[in-house]
Amino acid sequence: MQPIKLTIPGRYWDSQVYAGRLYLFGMDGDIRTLDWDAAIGGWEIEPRLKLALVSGFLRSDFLYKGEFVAFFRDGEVKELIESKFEYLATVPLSLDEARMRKVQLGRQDNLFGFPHADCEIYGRNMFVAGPMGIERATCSKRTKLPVSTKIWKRFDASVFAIATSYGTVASAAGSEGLFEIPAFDSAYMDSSDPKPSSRLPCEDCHWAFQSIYGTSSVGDGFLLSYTRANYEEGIKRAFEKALSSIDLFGQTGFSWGVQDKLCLATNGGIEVVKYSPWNKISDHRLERLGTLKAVKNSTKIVAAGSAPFGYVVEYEDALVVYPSAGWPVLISGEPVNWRVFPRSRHYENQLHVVYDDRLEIFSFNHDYFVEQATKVSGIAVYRERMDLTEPFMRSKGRRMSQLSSFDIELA
Amino acid sequence: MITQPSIRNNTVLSNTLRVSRIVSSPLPALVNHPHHRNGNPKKSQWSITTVEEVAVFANALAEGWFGTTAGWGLHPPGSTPLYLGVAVDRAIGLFIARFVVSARHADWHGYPFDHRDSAREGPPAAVLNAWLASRLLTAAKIRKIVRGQRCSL
Repeated sequence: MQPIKLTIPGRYWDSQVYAGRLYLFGMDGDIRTLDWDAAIGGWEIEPRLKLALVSGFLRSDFLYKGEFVAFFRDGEVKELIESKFEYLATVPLSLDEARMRKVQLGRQDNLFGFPHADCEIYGRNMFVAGPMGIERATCSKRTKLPVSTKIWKRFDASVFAIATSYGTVASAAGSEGLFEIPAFDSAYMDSSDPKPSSRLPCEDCHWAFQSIYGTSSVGDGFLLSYTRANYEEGIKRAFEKALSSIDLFGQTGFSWGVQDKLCLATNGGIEVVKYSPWNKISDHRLERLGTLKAVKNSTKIVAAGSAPFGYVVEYEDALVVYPSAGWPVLISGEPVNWRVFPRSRHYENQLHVVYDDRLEIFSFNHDYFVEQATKVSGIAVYRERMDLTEPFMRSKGRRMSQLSSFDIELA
Repeated sequence: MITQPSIRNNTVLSNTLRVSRIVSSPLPALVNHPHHRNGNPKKSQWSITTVEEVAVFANALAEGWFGTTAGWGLHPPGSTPLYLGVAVDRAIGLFIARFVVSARHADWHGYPFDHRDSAREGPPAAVLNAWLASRLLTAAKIRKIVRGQRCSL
């Protein structure tokens, strides 16, 4: 199944999507915030394509709900849903300037260091990292501007990449190693210089549940394995051990790890290991799943990431998506930037790719029909059951948009 | 704070990389460190000549591509960058030169810089923005530099 693609013309450095808002970091030093719910929800399109549009760009979780598994086992229902996504993939979708102005929530000076290396939104806060260190600002929808102008410094040292989870900003600092910085602890900046969690070189990092995987193109990648336990005061992580990519895969190569999948690319293939840290038998926590055939030379890999829909590997002149079902998808061209949103609940099917003159948002929707427990490519989605006693998708007293409010018909 | 060097006269003396200094001026000089040209297995190696290295340094000065303790240059000056050295692994071409000053001697020396190595030693935002604005490097290349990622010209 081909991805749906939506193009946003303009000159951008980076993008983020979170809680119904799209944040565009402009090359001219601004941050433009769009009401993403309104942009997609108000899109004029044939009614029969609304489900695909909304699931594709606003609510990836609609079709991941546990109840839909039974529907999708019906071949006719599956074929009907698939046909909607396949047809929408042939429709050119573009958010032009006129439409952007209609849904614009704000356009403000970017007060973070620019150009930044990486950014994440976590707990309604925007974290931006790079040569300036790590900076944080609120984007909680309670500030006058979409991104607060009050910038807090979280870390002084330069970093290459960040990843947030468990109240922590994991930070890859190259030869200085990997640091774990408290995301919100106000006393942190007054304490002494932080020590790295690992002195192994890394230029990227991702969370694998409560553990952290460090990616290195100059050395071996590594997994910092943590255990977690619930206490009255909250969840606590405890360091267990560090495993190199040689320990995990038995060979060297470009490796990365996100949630339940650890990957290593060598010439000709991508080895995949399933990571189950909760398994009581420690020998069963790592399980070799197999090897995907790579379409390009792995010695030319620039970066890689994982999402439920598959693995995204950046080579020198292209991105390749190795999907959880179907053939690899080649996206030609050297991007200015790209990102996926594996921690997201609503945008986990999206791949954002920034080029010199536009942002392209790819939405991959084949994964709804894939058996999550056994798939080799892509991180597993643990399907929630709908709570039928509650109004559909009500959360914390705030009424979430319902399926019907998007005028979605299953015809 | 280290005083940024400047060049009044960019004559290169024979057999050395010394940038001529005005006698009365306390300007530091650019000196040649042999371990970046003698195949030292733990150091990056220049692939450009010493004359070209001086030109890179002079251009970096003229453009103001200096932070508080280091400067960064591209080769050849004012043109689309080319490789100027190789990394420690000898497999990766390098295109950024880094210049640092010796606290003891106040002399500067340079070396081909592997941007994947250290986030701390990479070009600061001001230099990256200058390269972006001048279009010497594309935004895609700048991203790879600031992310410490593999980057080919």
